[in-house]
Amino acid sequence: MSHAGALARVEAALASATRVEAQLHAFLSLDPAGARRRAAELDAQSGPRGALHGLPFAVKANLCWSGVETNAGSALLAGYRAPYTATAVQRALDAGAVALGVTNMDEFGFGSSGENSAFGPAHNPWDLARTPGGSSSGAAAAVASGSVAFALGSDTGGSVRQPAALCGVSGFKPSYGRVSRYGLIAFASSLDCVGVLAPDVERVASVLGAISGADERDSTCLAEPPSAAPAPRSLQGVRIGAPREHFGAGVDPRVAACVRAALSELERLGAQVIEIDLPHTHAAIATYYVVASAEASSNLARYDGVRYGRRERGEGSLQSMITATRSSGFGAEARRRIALGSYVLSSGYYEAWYVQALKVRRLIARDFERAFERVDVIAGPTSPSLAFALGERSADPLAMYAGDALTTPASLAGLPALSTPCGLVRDGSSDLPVGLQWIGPHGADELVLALGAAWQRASAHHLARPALAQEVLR
Amino acid sequence: MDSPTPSASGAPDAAAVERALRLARLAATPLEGQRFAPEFERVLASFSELARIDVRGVEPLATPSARGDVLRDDLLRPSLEREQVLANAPQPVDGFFGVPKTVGGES
Repeated sequence: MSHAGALARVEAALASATRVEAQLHAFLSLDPAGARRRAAELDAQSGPRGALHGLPFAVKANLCWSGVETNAGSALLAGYRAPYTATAVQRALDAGAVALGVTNMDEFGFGSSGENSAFGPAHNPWDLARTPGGSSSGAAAAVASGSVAFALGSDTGGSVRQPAALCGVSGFKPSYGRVSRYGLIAFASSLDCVGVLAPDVERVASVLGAISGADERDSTCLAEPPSAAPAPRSLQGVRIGAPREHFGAGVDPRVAACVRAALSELERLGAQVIEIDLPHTHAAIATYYVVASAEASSNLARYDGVRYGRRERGEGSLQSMITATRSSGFGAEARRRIALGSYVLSSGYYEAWYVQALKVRRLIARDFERAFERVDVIAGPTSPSLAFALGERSADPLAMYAGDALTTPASLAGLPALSTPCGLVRDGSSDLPVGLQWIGPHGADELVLALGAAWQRASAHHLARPALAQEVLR
Repeated sequence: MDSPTPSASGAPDAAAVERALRLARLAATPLEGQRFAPEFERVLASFSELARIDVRGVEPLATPSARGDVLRDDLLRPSLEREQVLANAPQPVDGFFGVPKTVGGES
Protein backbone atom coordinates (compact mmCIF):
# COMPACT_ATOMS: atom_id res chain seq x y z
CA MET A 1 0.00 0.00 0.00
CA SER A 2 1.36 3.41 -0.91
CA HIS A 3 1.48 6.24 1.57
CA ALA A 4 -0.20 8.80 -0.58
CA GLY A 5 -1.63 11.75 1.30
CA ALA A 6 -5.14 11.44 2.63
CA LEU A 7 -6.43 14.19 0.36
CA ALA A 8 -4.92 12.55 -2.74
CA ARG A 9 -6.59 9.27 -1.82
CA VAL A 10 -9.91 10.89 -1.14
CA GLU A 11 -9.79 12.80 -4.44
CA ALA A 12 -9.09 9.56 -6.30
CA ALA A 13 -11.88 7.77 -4.44
CA LEU A 14 -14.35 10.58 -5.14
CA ALA A 15 -13.38 10.59 -8.82
CA SER A 16 -13.95 6.85 -9.02
CA ALA A 17 -17.21 6.87 -7.08
CA THR A 18 -18.56 9.72 -9.18
CA ARG A 19 -17.47 8.10 -12.46
CA VAL A 20 -19.29 4.81 -11.82
CA GLU A 21 -22.23 6.01 -9.73
CA ALA A 22 -24.61 6.45 -12.65
CA GLN A 23 -24.09 2.78 -13.50
CA LEU A 24 -23.93 1.29 -9.98
CA HIS A 25 -26.19 3.45 -7.81
CA ALA A 26 -24.02 2.28 -4.91
CA PHE A 27 -24.44 5.50 -2.94
CA LEU A 28 -27.51 7.22 -1.57
CA SER A 29 -25.40 10.29 -0.82
CA LEU A 30 -21.81 11.46 -1.14
CA ASP A 31 -20.16 14.12 0.99
CA PRO A 32 -17.24 15.38 -1.12
CA ALA A 33 -16.82 18.61 0.84
CA GLY A 34 -16.76 16.90 4.23
CA ALA A 35 -14.41 14.18 2.99
CA ARG A 36 -11.98 16.71 1.51
CA ARG A 37 -12.04 18.81 4.67
CA ARG A 38 -11.34 15.81 6.87
CA ALA A 39 -8.58 14.54 4.56
CA ALA A 40 -6.89 17.94 4.56
CA GLU A 41 -7.00 17.96 8.38
CA LEU A 42 -5.38 14.53 8.47
CA ASP A 43 -2.64 15.63 6.08
CA ALA A 44 -1.92 18.65 8.28
CA GLN A 45 -1.61 16.54 11.43
CA SER A 46 1.70 15.53 12.84
CA GLY A 47 2.31 12.78 15.34
CA PRO A 48 1.08 9.19 15.41
CA ARG A 49 -1.36 8.06 12.75
CA GLY A 50 -4.46 6.00 13.27
CA ALA A 51 -4.63 2.45 11.95
CA LEU A 52 -6.95 3.54 9.14
CA HIS A 53 -5.25 6.84 8.41
CA GLY A 54 -6.52 8.43 5.20
CA LEU A 55 -8.54 5.44 4.03
CA PRO A 56 -11.74 6.49 2.25
CA PHE A 57 -14.70 4.42 3.37
CA ALA A 58 -18.47 4.14 2.94
CA VAL A 59 -21.21 3.84 5.54
CA LYS A 60 -24.28 1.65 5.08
CA ALA A 61 -27.47 3.68 5.28
CA ASN A 62 -28.56 1.98 8.52
CA LEU A 63 -25.52 3.15 10.51
CA CYS A 64 -26.12 6.50 12.12
CA TRP A 65 -23.78 9.26 11.05
CA SER A 66 -24.45 12.54 12.81
CA GLY A 67 -26.04 15.20 10.62
CA VAL A 68 -26.22 12.92 7.58
CA GLU A 69 -29.37 11.36 6.12
CA THR A 70 -29.54 7.84 7.59
CA ASN A 71 -32.66 6.42 5.97
CA ALA A 72 -31.96 2.65 6.07
CA GLY A 73 -33.13 2.44 2.46
CA SER A 74 -36.67 3.22 3.55
CA ALA A 75 -39.08 5.86 2.25
CA LEU A 76 -40.40 6.04 5.80
CA LEU A 77 -37.07 7.47 6.98
CA ALA A 78 -36.38 9.66 3.94
CA GLY A 79 -34.92 12.90 5.23
CA TYR A 80 -34.05 11.53 8.67
CA ARG A 81 -30.77 13.05 9.82
CA ALA A 82 -29.13 11.10 12.60
CA PRO A 83 -28.50 13.21 15.71
CA TYR A 84 -25.55 11.04 16.74
CA THR A 85 -22.95 8.69 15.24
CA ALA A 86 -22.83 4.90 15.54
CA THR A 87 -19.96 3.53 17.59
CA ALA A 88 -18.50 1.57 14.66
CA VAL A 89 -18.56 4.63 12.40
CA GLN A 90 -17.09 6.86 15.11
CA ARG A 91 -14.26 4.42 15.80
CA ALA A 92 -13.41 4.19 12.10
CA LEU A 93 -13.33 7.99 11.94
CA ASP A 94 -11.23 8.15 15.11
CA ALA A 95 -8.75 5.73 13.52
CA GLY A 96 -8.23 8.20 10.67
CA ALA A 97 -10.58 6.82 8.03
CA VAL A 98 -12.47 9.35 5.89
CA ALA A 99 -16.19 8.81 5.31
CA LEU A 100 -17.11 9.39 1.68
CA GLY A 101 -20.82 8.73 1.67
CA VAL A 102 -23.81 6.56 2.50
CA THR A 103 -24.45 3.31 0.65
CA ASN A 104 -27.62 1.87 -0.82
CA MET A 105 -29.36 -1.07 0.85
CA ASP A 106 -32.53 -3.13 1.04
CA GLU A 107 -35.00 -1.35 3.29
CA PHE A 108 -34.01 -1.97 6.93
CA GLY A 109 -31.92 -4.93 5.72
CA PHE A 110 -34.93 -6.84 4.38
CA GLY A 111 -33.55 -8.41 1.25
CA SER A 112 -30.78 -10.23 -0.57
CA SER A 113 -30.67 -8.29 -3.82
CA GLY A 114 -30.86 -4.58 -3.05
CA GLU A 115 -34.18 -4.41 -4.88
CA ASN A 116 -36.05 -3.57 -1.69
CA SER A 117 -34.33 -0.20 -1.49
CA ALA A 118 -36.94 2.56 -1.70
CA PHE A 119 -34.42 4.50 -3.76
CA GLY A 120 -33.84 1.98 -6.53
CA PRO A 121 -31.44 -0.96 -6.59
CA ALA A 122 -27.66 -0.92 -6.78
CA HIS A 123 -26.05 -2.84 -9.64
CA ASN A 124 -23.30 -5.45 -9.73
CA PRO A 125 -20.02 -4.07 -11.13
CA TRP A 126 -19.34 -7.43 -12.80
CA ASP A 127 -22.59 -7.29 -14.77
CA LEU A 128 -24.81 -4.26 -14.46
CA ALA A 129 -27.96 -6.24 -15.23
CA ARG A 130 -27.42 -8.33 -12.10
CA THR A 131 -27.83 -7.80 -8.39
CA PRO A 132 -24.80 -7.03 -6.23
CA GLY A 133 -26.55 -9.03 -3.51
CA GLY A 134 -27.96 -7.56 -0.35
CA SER A 135 -28.78 -6.07 1.90
CA SER A 136 -25.34 -4.32 1.94
CA SER A 137 -25.71 -3.86 -1.83
CA GLY A 138 -24.10 -0.48 -2.27
CA ALA A 139 -21.30 -1.32 0.15
CA ALA A 140 -20.25 -4.36 -1.88
CA ALA A 141 -20.61 -2.55 -5.21
CA ALA A 142 -18.55 0.40 -3.92
CA VAL A 143 -15.72 -1.83 -2.68
CA ALA A 144 -15.74 -4.02 -5.81
CA SER A 145 -15.61 -1.00 -8.10
CA GLY A 146 -12.53 0.28 -6.26
CA SER A 147 -14.18 3.46 -5.04
CA VAL A 148 -13.51 2.92 -1.34
CA ALA A 149 -10.85 1.18 0.75
CA PHE A 150 -13.53 -0.47 2.87
CA ALA A 151 -17.19 -0.24 3.73
CA LEU A 152 -19.09 -0.74 6.95
CA GLY A 153 -22.17 -2.90 6.54
CA SER A 154 -24.51 -4.92 8.68
CA ASP A 155 -25.22 -8.63 8.59
CA THR A 156 -28.37 -10.11 10.12
CA GLY A 157 -28.69 -13.26 8.02
CA GLY A 158 -25.89 -12.82 5.47
CA SER A 159 -26.17 -9.18 4.42
CA VAL A 160 -22.40 -8.61 4.40
CA ARG A 161 -21.22 -12.05 3.27
CA GLN A 162 -23.63 -12.66 0.39
CA PRO A 163 -23.05 -9.32 -1.39
CA ALA A 164 -19.31 -9.72 -0.77
CA ALA A 165 -19.50 -13.13 -2.49
CA LEU A 166 -21.58 -11.86 -5.41
CA CYS A 167 -19.27 -8.86 -5.95
CA GLY A 168 -15.95 -10.66 -5.46
CA VAL A 169 -14.74 -8.89 -2.31
CA SER A 170 -14.00 -10.02 1.24
CA GLY A 171 -16.79 -9.59 3.77
CA PHE A 172 -16.85 -10.42 7.46
CA LYS A 173 -19.59 -10.86 10.03
CA PRO A 174 -17.97 -10.89 13.48
CA SER A 175 -19.09 -13.02 16.40
CA TYR A 176 -22.32 -11.66 17.83
CA GLY A 177 -21.35 -8.90 20.27
CA ARG A 178 -17.86 -8.29 18.92
CA VAL A 179 -18.76 -4.90 17.45
CA SER A 180 -21.13 -2.51 19.16
CA ARG A 181 -24.60 -2.17 17.64
CA TYR A 182 -25.02 1.31 19.10
CA GLY A 183 -26.30 3.50 16.27
CA LEU A 184 -27.17 0.57 14.01
CA ILE A 185 -30.84 0.92 13.07
CA ALA A 186 -32.30 -2.25 14.57
CA PHE A 187 -33.68 -5.06 12.42
CA ALA A 188 -33.36 -8.21 14.58
CA SER A 189 -31.46 -7.50 17.76
CA SER A 190 -30.32 -11.06 18.52
CA LEU A 191 -28.90 -11.43 15.01
CA ASP A 192 -27.69 -7.97 13.92
CA CYS A 193 -23.93 -7.55 13.57
CA VAL A 194 -21.92 -4.66 12.16
CA GLY A 195 -19.61 -6.11 9.51
CA VAL A 196 -16.81 -5.06 7.18
CA LEU A 197 -16.32 -5.33 3.40
CA ALA A 198 -12.89 -4.71 1.83
CA PRO A 199 -10.75 -5.78 -1.14
CA ASP A 200 -8.84 -8.26 1.03
CA VAL A 201 -8.93 -9.93 4.43
CA GLU A 202 -5.94 -8.05 5.77
CA ARG A 203 -7.85 -4.79 5.35
CA VAL A 204 -10.95 -6.34 6.92
CA ALA A 205 -8.87 -7.34 9.94
CA SER A 206 -7.37 -3.90 10.40
CA VAL A 207 -10.83 -2.31 10.26
CA LEU A 208 -12.21 -4.85 12.74
CA GLY A 209 -9.31 -4.02 15.04
CA ALA A 210 -10.36 -0.38 14.97
CA ILE A 211 -14.11 -0.80 15.44
CA SER A 212 -14.49 -3.79 17.79
CA GLY A 213 -14.38 -3.94 21.57
CA ALA A 214 -16.43 -3.06 24.60
CA ASP A 215 -19.03 -0.31 24.42
CA GLU A 216 -21.16 0.55 27.41
CA ARG A 217 -23.89 1.75 25.04
CA ASP A 218 -24.55 -1.81 23.83
CA SER A 219 -25.15 -4.25 26.67
CA THR A 220 -24.58 -7.24 24.38
CA CYS A 221 -21.17 -5.95 23.31
CA LEU A 222 -18.37 -8.21 24.50
CA ALA A 223 -15.93 -6.79 26.98
CA GLU A 224 -12.89 -8.26 25.27
CA PRO A 225 -10.25 -5.82 24.05
CA PRO A 226 -10.33 -4.85 20.38
CA SER A 227 -8.98 -7.52 18.11
CA ALA A 228 -5.43 -6.87 17.03
CA ALA A 229 -4.26 -7.61 13.51
CA PRO A 230 -4.14 -11.40 13.50
CA ALA A 231 -0.64 -12.83 13.45
CA PRO A 232 0.18 -14.45 10.12
CA ARG A 233 -0.30 -18.17 10.32
CA SER A 234 0.05 -21.16 8.08
CA LEU A 235 -2.69 -23.39 6.76
CA GLN A 236 -0.53 -26.41 7.56
CA GLY A 237 -2.50 -28.95 9.56
CA VAL A 238 -5.61 -26.78 9.87
CA ARG A 239 -8.70 -28.99 9.99
CA ILE A 240 -11.36 -27.59 7.66
CA GLY A 241 -14.85 -29.05 7.90
CA ALA A 242 -16.82 -29.18 4.65
CA PRO A 243 -20.53 -29.60 5.50
CA ARG A 244 -22.21 -32.00 3.07
CA GLU A 245 -25.42 -29.99 3.38
CA HIS A 246 -23.68 -26.88 2.01
CA PHE A 247 -22.96 -28.60 -1.29
CA GLY A 248 -26.29 -30.33 -1.78
CA ALA A 249 -29.67 -29.58 -3.27
CA GLY A 250 -30.32 -25.95 -4.08
CA VAL A 251 -26.64 -25.14 -4.64
CA ASP A 252 -25.68 -24.27 -8.23
CA PRO A 253 -23.34 -27.11 -9.30
CA ARG A 254 -20.94 -24.55 -10.80
CA VAL A 255 -20.71 -22.80 -7.42
CA ALA A 256 -20.21 -26.11 -5.62
CA ALA A 257 -17.47 -27.14 -8.08
CA CYS A 258 -15.68 -23.80 -7.72
CA VAL A 259 -15.70 -24.05 -3.92
CA ARG A 260 -14.61 -27.72 -4.05
CA ALA A 261 -11.67 -26.64 -6.22
CA ALA A 262 -10.79 -24.00 -3.62
CA LEU A 263 -10.87 -26.63 -0.87
CA SER A 264 -8.46 -28.74 -2.95
CA GLU A 265 -6.15 -25.74 -3.18
CA LEU A 266 -6.33 -25.40 0.60
CA GLU A 267 -5.41 -29.07 0.91
CA ARG A 268 -2.37 -28.53 -1.28
CA LEU A 269 -1.40 -25.72 1.10
CA GLY A 270 -1.39 -28.18 3.96
CA ALA A 271 -4.93 -28.02 5.32
CA GLN A 272 -6.92 -31.14 6.01
CA VAL A 273 -10.45 -31.12 4.59
CA ILE A 274 -12.92 -33.26 6.53
CA GLU A 275 -16.49 -33.99 5.47
CA ILE A 276 -18.89 -33.06 8.26
CA ASP A 277 -22.64 -32.87 8.81
CA LEU A 278 -24.72 -29.92 9.98
CA PRO A 279 -27.99 -31.85 10.04
CA HIS A 280 -30.37 -28.98 10.77
CA THR A 281 -29.15 -26.80 7.89
CA HIS A 282 -32.41 -27.52 6.04
CA ALA A 283 -34.36 -25.73 8.79
CA ALA A 284 -32.20 -22.59 8.86
CA ILE A 285 -34.30 -20.48 6.48
CA ALA A 286 -37.59 -21.19 8.28
CA THR A 287 -35.96 -20.66 11.69
CA TYR A 288 -34.30 -17.46 10.59
CA TYR A 289 -37.38 -15.94 8.98
CA VAL A 290 -39.56 -16.69 12.00
CA VAL A 291 -37.05 -15.36 14.54
CA ALA A 292 -35.84 -12.37 12.51
CA SER A 293 -39.35 -11.33 11.50
CA ALA A 294 -40.56 -11.58 15.09
CA GLU A 295 -37.76 -9.32 16.26
CA ALA A 296 -38.28 -6.97 13.31
CA SER A 297 -41.98 -6.59 14.04
CA SER A 298 -41.07 -5.52 17.55
CA ASN A 299 -38.18 -3.24 16.57
CA LEU A 300 -40.08 -1.55 13.77
CA ALA A 301 -43.08 -0.76 15.97
CA ARG A 302 -41.26 2.52 16.67
CA TYR A 303 -42.05 3.84 13.19
CA ASP A 304 -45.40 5.34 14.02
CA GLY A 305 -45.13 8.77 12.42
CA VAL A 306 -44.76 10.50 15.79
CA ARG A 307 -41.09 10.97 16.60
CA TYR A 308 -39.30 10.71 13.27
CA GLY A 309 -39.82 9.79 9.67
CA ARG A 310 -42.74 10.63 7.48
CA ARG A 311 -46.35 10.89 8.55
CA GLU A 312 -49.57 10.20 6.66
CA ARG A 313 -52.65 11.80 8.11
CA GLY A 314 -55.04 8.93 7.43
CA GLU A 315 -58.62 9.65 8.44
CA GLY A 316 -57.59 11.95 11.25
CA SER A 317 -57.49 9.72 14.34
CA LEU A 318 -54.23 8.66 16.02
CA GLN A 319 -54.70 5.00 15.09
CA SER A 320 -55.61 5.86 11.54
CA MET A 321 -52.56 8.12 11.26
CA ILE A 322 -50.27 5.34 12.51
CA THR A 323 -51.72 2.70 10.18
CA ALA A 324 -51.67 5.03 7.17
CA THR A 325 -48.07 6.07 7.92
CA ARG A 326 -46.81 2.51 8.24
CA SER A 327 -48.81 1.12 5.33
CA SER A 328 -47.53 3.72 2.87
CA GLY A 329 -44.07 4.22 4.38
CA PHE A 330 -42.91 0.61 4.48
CA GLY A 331 -42.23 -1.28 1.26
CA ALA A 332 -43.89 -4.59 0.38
CA GLU A 333 -41.18 -6.82 1.87
CA ALA A 334 -41.05 -4.83 5.09
CA ARG A 335 -44.82 -5.09 5.45
CA ARG A 336 -44.68 -8.83 4.80
CA ARG A 337 -42.00 -9.40 7.45
CA ILE A 338 -43.63 -7.19 10.05
CA ALA A 339 -46.96 -8.96 9.55
CA LEU A 340 -45.22 -12.34 9.69
CA GLY A 341 -43.49 -11.35 12.93
CA SER A 342 -46.73 -10.10 14.47
CA TYR A 343 -48.40 -13.36 13.49
CA VAL A 344 -45.79 -15.68 15.03
CA LEU A 345 -45.71 -13.61 18.23
CA SER A 346 -49.46 -13.35 18.62
CA SER A 347 -51.53 -15.15 21.19
CA GLY A 348 -52.31 -18.68 20.07
CA TYR A 349 -49.34 -18.93 17.69
CA TYR A 350 -46.43 -17.87 19.89
CA GLU A 351 -45.52 -21.34 21.20
CA ALA A 352 -46.12 -23.16 17.93
CA TRP A 353 -44.09 -20.77 15.82
CA TYR A 354 -41.77 -18.45 17.75
CA VAL A 355 -40.76 -20.72 20.63
CA GLN A 356 -40.52 -23.71 18.29
CA ALA A 357 -38.15 -21.70 16.05
CA LEU A 358 -36.02 -20.73 19.07
CA LYS A 359 -35.67 -24.41 19.96
CA VAL A 360 -34.63 -25.31 16.43
CA ARG A 361 -32.19 -22.40 16.63
CA ARG A 362 -30.59 -24.16 19.60
CA LEU A 363 -30.29 -27.35 17.52
CA ILE A 364 -28.60 -25.42 14.73
CA ALA A 365 -26.13 -23.94 17.24
CA ARG A 366 -25.48 -27.41 18.65
CA ASP A 367 -24.70 -28.76 15.19
CA PHE A 368 -21.87 -26.25 15.04
CA GLU A 369 -20.64 -27.01 18.56
CA ARG A 370 -20.40 -30.69 17.70
CA ALA A 371 -18.65 -29.96 14.42
CA PHE A 372 -16.05 -27.79 16.14
CA GLU A 373 -15.07 -30.76 18.32
CA ARG A 374 -13.63 -32.25 15.12
CA VAL A 375 -12.54 -29.28 13.03
CA ASP A 376 -10.96 -25.84 13.52
CA VAL A 377 -13.06 -24.04 10.95
CA ILE A 378 -15.93 -24.81 8.56
CA ALA A 379 -15.84 -23.89 4.88
CA GLY A 380 -18.33 -24.02 2.01
CA PRO A 381 -20.11 -21.76 -0.46
CA THR A 382 -21.35 -18.39 0.81
CA SER A 383 -24.23 -18.14 -1.63
CA PRO A 384 -25.91 -21.09 -3.33
CA SER A 385 -26.06 -19.16 -6.59
CA LEU A 386 -24.14 -16.70 -8.74
CA ALA A 387 -25.28 -13.10 -8.93
CA PHE A 388 -28.76 -13.31 -10.44
CA ALA A 389 -30.51 -10.89 -12.77
CA LEU A 390 -32.25 -7.91 -11.22
CA GLY A 391 -35.97 -8.69 -11.32
CA GLU A 392 -35.46 -12.45 -11.48
CA ARG A 393 -36.61 -13.15 -7.93
CA SER A 394 -38.25 -9.93 -6.85
CA ALA A 395 -41.79 -11.28 -7.33
CA ASP A 396 -41.12 -14.49 -5.41
CA PRO A 397 -40.16 -14.05 -1.74
CA LEU A 398 -39.45 -17.76 -1.26
CA ALA A 399 -36.96 -17.81 -4.14
CA MET A 400 -35.26 -14.79 -2.58
CA TYR A 401 -35.18 -16.33 0.91
CA ALA A 402 -33.63 -19.54 -0.49
CA GLY A 403 -30.47 -17.56 -1.24
CA ASP A 404 -29.87 -17.17 2.51
CA ALA A 405 -29.69 -20.93 3.16
CA LEU A 406 -25.93 -21.01 3.79
CA THR A 407 -25.43 -17.73 5.62
CA THR A 408 -28.31 -17.82 8.12
CA PRO A 409 -26.99 -20.79 10.17
CA ALA A 410 -23.93 -18.88 11.43
CA SER A 411 -26.14 -15.86 12.15
CA LEU A 412 -28.55 -17.91 14.26
CA ALA A 413 -25.61 -19.34 16.21
CA GLY A 414 -23.83 -15.97 16.54
CA LEU A 415 -20.62 -17.24 14.93
CA PRO A 416 -17.91 -15.29 13.08
CA ALA A 417 -18.11 -15.88 9.33
CA LEU A 418 -16.05 -14.58 6.43
CA SER A 419 -16.62 -14.66 2.68
CA THR A 420 -13.55 -14.60 0.44
CA PRO A 421 -13.50 -14.74 -3.37
CA CYS A 422 -12.52 -18.21 -4.63
CA GLY A 423 -12.87 -18.01 -8.39
CA LEU A 424 -14.94 -16.83 -11.34
CA VAL A 425 -17.64 -18.71 -13.22
CA ARG A 426 -18.66 -17.81 -16.75
CA ASP A 427 -22.41 -17.28 -17.09
CA GLY A 428 -23.68 -15.96 -20.40
CA SER A 429 -21.29 -13.21 -21.36
CA SER A 430 -20.18 -12.45 -17.78
CA ASP A 431 -17.50 -13.72 -15.46
CA LEU A 432 -19.06 -13.82 -12.01
CA PRO A 433 -17.35 -14.22 -8.63
CA VAL A 434 -17.95 -17.11 -6.24
CA GLY A 435 -17.48 -16.75 -2.49
CA LEU A 436 -15.99 -19.24 -0.05
CA GLN A 437 -17.50 -18.90 3.42
CA TRP A 438 -15.35 -19.61 6.49
CA ILE A 439 -17.20 -20.13 9.79
CA GLY A 440 -15.39 -20.28 13.13
CA PRO A 441 -16.35 -21.03 16.73
CA HIS A 442 -17.83 -18.15 18.73
CA GLY A 443 -15.10 -15.65 19.58
CA ALA A 444 -12.59 -17.09 17.10
CA ASP A 445 -12.79 -14.04 14.83
CA GLU A 446 -9.01 -13.70 14.67
CA LEU A 447 -8.58 -17.35 13.67
CA VAL A 448 -11.09 -17.01 10.82
CA LEU A 449 -9.43 -13.82 9.58
CA ALA A 450 -5.93 -15.28 9.92
CA LEU A 451 -6.88 -18.31 7.84
CA GLY A 452 -8.59 -16.15 5.23
CA ALA A 453 -5.50 -13.94 5.04
CA ALA A 454 -3.21 -16.97 4.77
CA TRP A 455 -5.29 -18.25 1.85
CA GLN A 456 -5.10 -14.86 0.13
CA ARG A 457 -1.31 -14.72 0.55
CA ALA A 458 -1.10 -18.03 -1.29
CA SER A 459 -3.73 -17.42 -3.98
CA ALA A 460 -4.85 -14.71 -6.39
CA HIS A 461 -8.65 -15.06 -6.53
CA HIS A 462 -9.17 -11.94 -4.44
CA LEU A 463 -7.19 -9.86 -6.92
CA ALA A 464 -9.73 -10.34 -9.73
CA ARG A 465 -11.56 -7.07 -10.36
CA PRO A 466 -14.41 -6.17 -12.68
CA ALA A 467 -13.44 -4.24 -15.79
CA LEU A 468 -15.37 -1.33 -14.38
CA ALA A 469 -13.03 -0.97 -11.44
CA GLN A 470 -10.25 1.54 -11.45
CA GLU A 471 -7.32 0.87 -9.17
CA VAL A 472 -7.43 3.98 -7.07
CA LEU A 473 -6.41 2.47 -3.79
CA ARG A 474 -2.96 1.04 -4.40
CA MET B 1 -61.41 -10.23 20.99
CA ASP B 2 -60.19 -12.72 18.44
CA SER B 3 -59.74 -16.27 19.61
CA PRO B 4 -57.44 -17.92 17.11
CA THR B 5 -57.17 -21.65 16.87
CA PRO B 6 -53.65 -22.66 17.83
CA SER B 7 -52.00 -24.31 14.89
CA ALA B 8 -48.63 -25.99 14.91
CA SER B 9 -48.30 -25.89 11.18
CA GLY B 10 -50.05 -25.24 7.92
CA ALA B 11 -51.35 -22.09 6.37
CA PRO B 12 -53.25 -19.51 8.40
CA ASP B 13 -56.71 -18.55 7.27
CA ALA B 14 -57.60 -15.14 5.90
CA ALA B 15 -58.92 -13.94 9.26
CA ALA B 16 -55.59 -14.73 10.91
CA VAL B 17 -53.72 -12.76 8.26
CA GLU B 18 -56.10 -9.87 8.74
CA ARG B 19 -55.50 -10.03 12.49
CA ALA B 20 -51.70 -10.03 12.05
CA LEU B 21 -51.94 -6.94 9.86
CA ARG B 22 -54.13 -5.20 12.40
CA LEU B 23 -51.74 -6.04 15.25
CA ALA B 24 -48.88 -4.62 13.17
CA ARG B 25 -50.85 -1.45 12.40
CA LEU B 26 -50.68 -2.23 8.72
CA ALA B 27 -53.20 -2.32 5.94
CA ALA B 28 -52.64 -4.12 2.66
CA THR B 29 -52.33 -1.41 0.03
CA PRO B 30 -54.79 -1.28 -2.88
CA LEU B 31 -51.81 -1.91 -5.14
CA GLU B 32 -51.32 -5.32 -3.56
CA GLY B 33 -55.03 -6.01 -3.76
CA GLN B 34 -55.83 -9.58 -2.96
CA ARG B 35 -52.25 -10.77 -3.38
CA PHE B 36 -51.00 -10.10 0.13
CA ALA B 37 -52.91 -12.78 2.03
CA PRO B 38 -52.24 -15.72 -0.33
CA GLU B 39 -48.56 -14.82 -0.54
CA PHE B 40 -48.32 -14.48 3.24
CA GLU B 41 -49.98 -17.88 3.61
CA ARG B 42 -47.63 -19.42 1.07
CA VAL B 43 -44.55 -18.08 2.91
CA LEU B 44 -45.77 -19.30 6.27
CA ALA B 45 -46.76 -22.69 4.88
CA SER B 46 -43.22 -23.13 3.56
CA PHE B 47 -41.95 -22.81 7.14
CA SER B 48 -44.21 -25.58 8.42
CA GLU B 49 -41.30 -28.05 8.48
CA LEU B 50 -40.32 -26.44 11.80
CA ALA B 51 -43.25 -28.18 13.48
CA ARG B 52 -41.93 -31.58 12.39
CA ILE B 53 -38.56 -31.21 14.09
CA ASP B 54 -38.20 -33.08 17.37
CA VAL B 55 -37.37 -30.48 20.01
CA ARG B 56 -38.26 -32.49 23.11
CA GLY B 57 -36.00 -31.41 25.96
CA VAL B 58 -34.48 -28.55 23.94
CA GLU B 59 -34.33 -25.11 25.56
CA PRO B 60 -35.16 -22.13 23.35
CA LEU B 61 -32.15 -20.05 22.23
CA ALA B 62 -33.33 -16.44 22.24
CA THR B 63 -29.90 -14.86 21.85
CA PRO B 64 -26.36 -16.02 21.16
CA SER B 65 -25.09 -13.27 23.46
CA ALA B 66 -22.34 -14.51 25.74
CA ARG B 67 -23.33 -11.92 28.34
CA GLY B 68 -26.19 -12.29 30.75
CA ASP B 69 -28.22 -9.35 31.93
CA VAL B 70 -26.02 -6.30 32.07
CA LEU B 71 -27.02 -3.38 34.25
CA ARG B 72 -25.33 -0.03 34.59
CA ASP B 73 -25.55 2.39 37.46
CA ASP B 74 -28.76 4.38 37.39
CA LEU B 75 -27.12 7.75 36.88
CA LEU B 76 -28.30 10.81 35.06
CA ARG B 77 -26.14 11.47 32.01
CA PRO B 78 -26.01 14.11 29.31
CA SER B 79 -28.41 13.33 26.49
CA LEU B 80 -29.56 14.90 23.24
CA GLU B 81 -30.92 18.43 23.42
CA ARG B 82 -34.67 18.79 22.95
CA GLU B 83 -34.17 20.63 19.63
CA GLN B 84 -32.06 17.76 18.30
CA VAL B 85 -34.68 15.21 19.28
CA LEU B 86 -37.50 17.19 17.71
CA ALA B 87 -35.56 18.04 14.55
CA ASN B 88 -36.74 14.83 12.86
CA ALA B 89 -40.31 14.91 14.18
CA PRO B 90 -42.93 15.26 11.44
CA GLN B 91 -45.09 17.60 13.53
CA PRO B 92 -43.46 19.14 16.60
CA VAL B 93 -45.77 21.33 18.69
CA ASP B 94 -44.40 23.75 21.29
CA GLY B 95 -41.42 21.56 22.09
CA PHE B 96 -43.39 18.32 22.09
CA PHE B 97 -44.26 15.60 19.59
CA GLY B 98 -47.61 16.50 18.07
CA VAL B 99 -50.20 13.79 17.42
CA PRO B 100 -53.88 13.84 16.39
CA LYS B 101 -56.14 14.59 19.31
CA THR B 102 -57.39 11.41 20.98
CA VAL B 103 -59.93 12.95 23.40
CA GLY B 104 -62.16 16.00 23.26
CA GLY B 105 -63.05 16.09 19.58
CA GLU B 106 -61.21 17.22 16.48
CA SER B 107 -57.77 18.80 16.81
